[in-house]
Amino acid sequence: MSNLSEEERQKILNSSPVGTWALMLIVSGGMVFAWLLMYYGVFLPRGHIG
Amino acid sequence: MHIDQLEKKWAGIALGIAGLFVSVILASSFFHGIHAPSNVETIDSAKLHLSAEFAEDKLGVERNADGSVTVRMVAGRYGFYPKNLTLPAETELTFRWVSLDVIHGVHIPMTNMSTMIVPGYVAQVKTILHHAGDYPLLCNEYCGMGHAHMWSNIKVVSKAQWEALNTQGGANHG
Repeated sequence: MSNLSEEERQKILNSSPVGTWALMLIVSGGMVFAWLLMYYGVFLPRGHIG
Repeated sequence: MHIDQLEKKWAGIALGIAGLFVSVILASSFFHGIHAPSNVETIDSAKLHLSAEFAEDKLGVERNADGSVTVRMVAGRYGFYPKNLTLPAETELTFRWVSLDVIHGVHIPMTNMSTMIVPGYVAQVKTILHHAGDYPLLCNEYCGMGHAHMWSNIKVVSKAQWEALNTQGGANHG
């Protein structure tokens, strides 16, 4: 059972999900960085194929 | 259909990332001429030994008039022929592969050189190898009981060294 009051519960529900945004920023930023690193740091220097 | 505001934001971020990746690939394609291999050319795999291009004495390295190099190789269970090649670094290389039996794959580790070799077709890939050294040439498409032992060697040397080797006539006799 939650010990939150109705007022606290509404406050949480109506506030911005800061933790989720932080997680999203870290994951997506990491993914973009890793992708660019692989593309410009590994794939292109090895000599592209065509 | 109702879509929650938060869901829209998440979808926007995901699509934005995908859009960024596609933009980088498109920019490479339009402004730097980087395209995926797309050669479609057929050949009779049962008559390679009689063909003008892939008969045994035609295999190996050929220097073109424009300074580029064409490499012709045959893949068959269980090896790539010629077994040993010496290639120049920093030179445009056109690899042309055919299979004399089943589907094979070819991969040169630490390079982007990788393609499937399908019987009945000529697999053509253009690339430039930047770093000198010894590279194995591996089959990466399961082709039978001896697949794990299907490999050959490529030695990449500087262009000047390669020219000297070819002048002596000992570079690419497999």
